[in-house]
Amino acid sequence: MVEPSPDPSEARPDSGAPADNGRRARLGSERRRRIAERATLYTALVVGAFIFALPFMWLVSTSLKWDREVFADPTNWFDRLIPRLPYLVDRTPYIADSDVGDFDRPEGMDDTSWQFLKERLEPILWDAAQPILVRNETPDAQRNELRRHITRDLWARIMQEKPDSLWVEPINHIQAELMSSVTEEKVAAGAQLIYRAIRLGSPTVQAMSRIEEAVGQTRWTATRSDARLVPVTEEGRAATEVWTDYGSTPRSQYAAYLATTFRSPFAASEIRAITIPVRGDESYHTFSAEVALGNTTYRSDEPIVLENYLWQEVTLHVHGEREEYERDSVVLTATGEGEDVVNSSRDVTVTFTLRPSSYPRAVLRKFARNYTEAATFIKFVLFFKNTVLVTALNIVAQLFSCSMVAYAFARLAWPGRDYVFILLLSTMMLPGQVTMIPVFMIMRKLGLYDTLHPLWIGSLFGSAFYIFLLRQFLLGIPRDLEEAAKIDGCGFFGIYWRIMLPLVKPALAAIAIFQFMGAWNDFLGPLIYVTSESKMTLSLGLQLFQSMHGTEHGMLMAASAVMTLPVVVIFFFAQRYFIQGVTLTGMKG
Amino acid sequence: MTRSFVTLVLGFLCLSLCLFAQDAPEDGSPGPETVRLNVWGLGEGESQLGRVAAMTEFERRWNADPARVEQYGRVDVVMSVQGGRMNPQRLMTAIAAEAPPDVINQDRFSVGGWAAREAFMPLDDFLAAQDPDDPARVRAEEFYDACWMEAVFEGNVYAIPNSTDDRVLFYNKDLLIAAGYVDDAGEAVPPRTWAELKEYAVKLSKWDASGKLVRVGFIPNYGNSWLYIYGWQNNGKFMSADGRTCTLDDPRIAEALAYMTDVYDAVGGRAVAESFISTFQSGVLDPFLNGKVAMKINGNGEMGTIARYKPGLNFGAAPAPRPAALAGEPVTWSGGYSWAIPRGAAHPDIAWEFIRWMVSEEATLLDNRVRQRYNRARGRLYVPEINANKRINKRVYEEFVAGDDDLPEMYQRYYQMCVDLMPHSRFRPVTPVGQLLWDEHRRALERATYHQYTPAEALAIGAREVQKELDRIYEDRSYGPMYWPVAVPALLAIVGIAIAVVIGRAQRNRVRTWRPDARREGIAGFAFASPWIFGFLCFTAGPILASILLSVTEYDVLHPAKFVGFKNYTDLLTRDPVFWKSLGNTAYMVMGVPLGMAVGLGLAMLLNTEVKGIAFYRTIFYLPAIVPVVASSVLWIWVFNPESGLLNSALRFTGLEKPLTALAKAIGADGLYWLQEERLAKPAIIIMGLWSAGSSMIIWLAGLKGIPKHLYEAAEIDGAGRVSRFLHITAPMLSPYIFFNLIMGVIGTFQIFTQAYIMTQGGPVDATLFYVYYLFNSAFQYFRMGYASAMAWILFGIVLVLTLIQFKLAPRWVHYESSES
Repeated sequence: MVEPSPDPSEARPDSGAPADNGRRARLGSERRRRIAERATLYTALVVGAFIFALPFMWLVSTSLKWDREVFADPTNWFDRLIPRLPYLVDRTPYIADSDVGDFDRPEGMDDTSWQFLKERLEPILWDAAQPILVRNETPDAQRNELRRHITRDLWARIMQEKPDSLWVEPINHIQAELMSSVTEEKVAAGAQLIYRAIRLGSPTVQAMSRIEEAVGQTRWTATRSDARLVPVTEEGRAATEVWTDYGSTPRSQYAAYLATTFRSPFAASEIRAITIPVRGDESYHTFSAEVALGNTTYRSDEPIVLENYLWQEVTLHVHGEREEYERDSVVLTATGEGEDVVNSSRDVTVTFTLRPSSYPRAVLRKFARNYTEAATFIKFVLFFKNTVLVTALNIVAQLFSCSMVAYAFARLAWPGRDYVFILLLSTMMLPGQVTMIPVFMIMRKLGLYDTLHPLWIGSLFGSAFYIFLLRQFLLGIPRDLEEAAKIDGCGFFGIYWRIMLPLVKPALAAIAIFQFMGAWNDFLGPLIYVTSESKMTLSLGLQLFQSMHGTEHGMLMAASAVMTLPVVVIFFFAQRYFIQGVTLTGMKG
Repeated sequence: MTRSFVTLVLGFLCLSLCLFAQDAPEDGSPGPETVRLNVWGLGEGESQLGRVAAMTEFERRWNADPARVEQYGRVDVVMSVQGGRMNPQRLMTAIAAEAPPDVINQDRFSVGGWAAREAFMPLDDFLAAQDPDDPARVRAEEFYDACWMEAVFEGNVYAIPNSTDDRVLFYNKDLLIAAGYVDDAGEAVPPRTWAELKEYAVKLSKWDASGKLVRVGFIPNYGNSWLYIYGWQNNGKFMSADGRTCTLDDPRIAEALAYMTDVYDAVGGRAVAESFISTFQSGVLDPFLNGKVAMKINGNGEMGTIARYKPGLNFGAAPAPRPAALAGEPVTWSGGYSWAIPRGAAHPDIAWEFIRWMVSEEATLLDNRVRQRYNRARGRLYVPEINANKRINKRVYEEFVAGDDDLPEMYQRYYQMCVDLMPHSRFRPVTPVGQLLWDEHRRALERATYHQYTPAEALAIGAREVQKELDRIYEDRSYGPMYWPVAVPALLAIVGIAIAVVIGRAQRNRVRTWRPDARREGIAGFAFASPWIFGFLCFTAGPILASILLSVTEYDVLHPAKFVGFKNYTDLLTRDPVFWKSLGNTAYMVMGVPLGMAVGLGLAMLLNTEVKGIAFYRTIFYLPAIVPVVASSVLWIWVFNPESGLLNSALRFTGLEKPLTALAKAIGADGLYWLQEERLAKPAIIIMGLWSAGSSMIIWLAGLKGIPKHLYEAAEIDGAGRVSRFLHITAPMLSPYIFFNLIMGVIGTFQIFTQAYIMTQGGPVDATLFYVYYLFNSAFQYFRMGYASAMAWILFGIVLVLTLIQFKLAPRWVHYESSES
C-alpha cells in the first residue's frame, strides 16, 4: 500500500506496440511496474530502517567503547559507530597506533614550503626524540614504529603551541625552532599515548586498623626465562617494566610469574590489604595474584584484567570484610593450612601470574567492560525483578479494566454515558503535576509509601488514553455481530469476552506495548514513592546512575542498553498480533 | 472462554501476591530497637563512595557505643540518592506528606528558599547545646564566611556546610604562549582586567578560511560564571541589605552585563559561541581540555576534571579579571553543599549527631581517602574538593594535595591559590526568592546577549518580576487563611448541582432512546464502566477538586493555604509575560501534531506491506520510541550539534545545508544552530518528535489491519488508482484513528515537558519554555502551588474547548462502521 514515487514504467506509452502484441506488452509493463514498485518499497524500508536504527546503533556502539574512544575524534560521525577492537599483539611492550594521525599542514603555510618541510619532519623530530625515548633493549622493528608514531604526535603537539606567524618564516628558522621544541615532557606525553607496557610499582600495606604504610622500593623478579624485567623511571619514580614474547610458547601454556618479596611493617595477621601500582598495556591479558604471608598463601578468585594503559592501584584484600565502597579491591582467599593460627611473620611475597588471553577473549573483555562496570553500581537483577513484576501487573490490569470500560462506552447505552466520557477525557487535560501531591498523600494514608503498589494500582481502574483508543476501535465494529450473538443467547459479558475482545486484538496489542513502555520507563513514580534500594526499578536506577555517572557515557549507554533490550525483544514478538488483523466474519462490504 | 478467563485472573493474582510477599520481610527486618535514619542527597560518582564510607563508619561507631544504643537504639542508615534535577518534586512531596528524610545534603544556594518556608529545622539549639570543651564541636568561626552565611536565614542557622568551591580563570598556557602573552621568562601571563580579557578573547579565537570558528578565546558564560560573578566583579549588589528589595537592575550589574554582551559579540555572537561549545560540555570532550577554548571561568573542580581526563594539559589558573579600576582585590564566588534536617524529621537528635560526624575531620579524611583510592584504582589523579571548614581543609590539603607525590606541582600551587581566594568569596543572596532571582538573572543574561533587549532593559524586567514576588511574600499579609470547612462543602455543592443538572438532562435523553432491554443494558453499562468510575472517585476526583480550591489560594505546600480569590488567574492573564510566552511556545508546537500524524501513518502504511522480515523492520522503526530518555537526550544533543552532529552532517552530504541555512537566515537565525538559536529550538524539538513517530505508528498499524481487504479488491476491480483508494477507502476507514490521534496529539502537545526539561532547560531565551514546564517551575521551584493550580485550570479550559470543538466537528468526517447499521 505504499505510494511509490512516480513510476517511470507507467509513464512510458504502450500505444506504439502492434495490436496483437498489445496484451503481451501490457503484461510486460505490468511486471516492470511491479518490480519497480517492489524496489521502491525495499529501498524505502532499508533507508528508513537505517535512519530509525541510528539512535539504537549509537547506543549499543557507545556501550562497547571506552570514554576516550567515544570522544576520540568528533569530526566523523560514521566512524563513531564502530567500536575499536583491542590490539592484536603477541608481545609486550608494543606500539599502539590508532591514536596518531598524519602530519597536518599548519595554517598559513604555502604548499611548496610545506612539501619541503613535510619530508624532513620525521628525521628532524626523531633526532630530537630518540635520545629521550629509545633504550638499548628496544628491538629495531619497534624503533621504526616508535619513530613513525612519536614524530607525528610531537608535530601535533608542537603545532598547537606555536604562533601562526612562525610558519611564514624561512624554513631553516622553522627547523631550528622545531628542534628546540622537543622537550622531555612532550616526548613522555606522546609515549604515554602510543607506548604500551606492563609496569609494576612498589607496594603499600594497610593494617587492620586501616593505617597504611608504604614499603619503599622493592625488587621484582621474573621466574620465567623469556620474560625480562627492565627497571625504568617514570616521572621521577622507579618502576619495573615487563618484557616478554607470548609467541614463543603456545598461548594457553604461557605463564610468567612476577614476584616481589618485602618486609611488612605489620605482622601478617594484622595485614588487611596490600596495594600495588600496576600499569597495564591495554592487551586484556590477565594477572592473577597470590600473596604468601609466612606459611599461608592467599589467592585471588578473579583475575585482574590489564585493560587500561594508565597506572592503576591494585588492592589485594587479604583479611577482614571488604566494605561496599571498596568494591574495586581484589579479594584473596587463603589456601593451605595455618590460616587461623596467629601469624606473626613479616615476610610477604606477592606474585602476579601473567597469562595472555586469546584474542576473542580479549575482544569479549573489552566489549563487556562497561557492562560489568555498570553492574557494580546498578543491581540489575534486583531492579529487573521489581520492574518485571510491576510491568506485568500493569499490563494485565490495564488490558482488563480498559477493555471493559471501553466496551461500556462504545457499545452499551447507559444514562449519563456521554457526560462520563467527557469527564474521562477531561482527566487527561489536567497536568499531572498539580494532582501529584494529593495523590501521594492518599497513597501514603493507605500505607503504600515505599512499596511498589502505587506504581501499578492505578492500572486496575483503567487509563483514559487507552479507554478512548479502545472505544474508537469498538465503535468500528458492525452491530450485526452483536445482534447475532444476542439472538444466540449471549449476555453482555459473553459479547464482550467472545466477540469484542478477539476483534480488537491489534488494539490490545498496541495498548500492551504502550503500557509496557510506560511502566518500564516510568521513573517519576518510583522516584516519589520508593526510597529503599530493594524496591527500586530499572528506570529509576538508570536515572540515578545518570545523575552519578553522567559523564561516563560508555557505562551510561551500557546500562541503557540493558534496559532497552527487553523492550526490543518484547516488541519484536508482540508486533505479530498486528499482522493477524481483524477478520470480521459475516460483515457487510 | 471461562477457562482462559480463570487462567488469566489466577495468573494476575499470583503476580500481585509476589509483590505483596516481597513487602513482608522488609517491614519486619529492622528490630524494634533499631532506628532507620533516612539520608537523602548523596553526591555524584565517586563522591558517593566517599560518603558511603563515612556513613558506614558512623553506623559502626554508633552501634558499638552502648550508651548511645541505650538512649536512642541501634541505627541503620538508609541512604538514598535523589534523582538528578527532579529533586524539588520529591522533597516537597515528602515534606508535604509528612514523610521527610531525617537528613538531607542540600545545595546551599537553595537552603534559604526552603528555610523561608520553614521546611528545614533551625539548628541553633543543637549548636548551643554542644559541649564547649569538645574539640570536635561545630563552630561557626571555623568555617569560611561565604559558606556559613549562605545557610543562615534571618539570623538562624539552617544547615551545616560541607563542601565548597570558588571560581577562577583557567587558561591554556600553550595557547597563551603561542599568542605571545608571555613575561620575560617566557611564562604565560593571564589577563588581569576586563579590557585585557576581551582582548585575549579575540586574539586567542581562531576562524578558518570559511569564517567558521575553530577555537574561541573566551566565552563569558561558559564553565561556571553567569552574570553573578561579573556583577560582583563590578561591585554590583543583587539584593538590598534588608533582603526586601531586588537590585538586579543595579547600574553596575548592567555594566557587567553589557561587558558580557560585548565579549560575546567580539567572538561572533552568543548563538555562534553556544553552538561551538555544545558538543558535550563535560568529560573528555570538554573543549577546554582539547584546546578549543583557551580560557574559562570555572570552579576549582575543573582541576579534578583536568587531572582525570588530561593530566598533561599545560594549564594555569588565576583570579578572574575585574574592571581595571577595581583590579586590585580579587573577587570570587562560592557554592556547595550542606547538611540540613527537614521539618518533621523522625529522629532529629540522631540526625544532628550524624551531621556532626559527617562534617568532622575524621569523616572528611575518610571520605577523601576512599575517593582517592577509587581514582587510583582507575589510573587517575585525585584532586580533593575544598572543604567549607578552614581547619579541616588544611588537613585535607596536607594529606591529599601536598602529601600526594603523584600530583604534579602545578595542581598543588593552584589548589592553594583557590583556597587563598576563599575569603574573597561572594555567595548568592539568601532569600525566599533565590530560585526566581536565579532564573530571572539567567533570563536577563540571555535576553541581553541574544540582543532582544539592552542590558539595562533586560535587568529592569528581571528586577521587576523578582520584586513582585518579594512584595507578595513580605507585604501581602492581608489575605486570610483558606477556610476549608466552608470551601470544601461549597465546592461539593456546586459539583453536586452540576451533576444533578447533567442527570436531569440524561433522564430526558433516556426517554427518547428507550428500548425494551434498556434497563438491563444500563446496569451492564455501569457495571462495565465501574472500574474507571471507582478509580476516578477514589484517586482522581479528590485531587482534582483540591486543585480547584488551591487555585484560589496562595499555597507553598509547607504552610496553610491563604485565600486570595481570583488573584492567581488575574495575575496570570494580566501581569505575567512569561505565562503568555510559554502559552505561545506551546501553541507553536501544536503545528507539529499533523506532521507527526502524517509521518506515523506513512510509516504504518510502509510497514503494512507483505515483505519478508517485516517483523524486523517494524521493530527497527519502533526503536527510537524505545530508547530511554536519559540515553536519547545525550544522543539528541549530539544529533543537533551544528558542527559534527548527525543532522547537519546529513544535510551537508545531501547538499541541503546551504539552502536550509539561507532559509534559517531568512527567518532571522544566525545559521543552523538547532538548539542554540531561538528560532530553531522549537522546530528542532518537533523534528525530534518525528523520529519517535513509531509509537503512533502502532495505532495506525492496528487501524490499518482492521480495514477489510475486500474493499481494496473491489476498488481495484473498479479501476481505482492508489490515490483514490487512499482517499476513498483508507482515509474514511481510518477516520476514527485520525480523530483519536488528533485529540491525543493536541492534549499531549499542551503537556509537552520532558524534552525541554532535559535538553534545553527552557532556553534559548525561553524559546522552549513550554506551558507545563513553567507550571512545574512555579509549583516546585518557586513554591507557588496555588499559582500552578490556576495555570493548570486555564490549560484545562483551553484544551477542553479545543477538544469539544473537535468532537462537534467530528460527525462531518469521522466514519464509524457501527453507526451505519
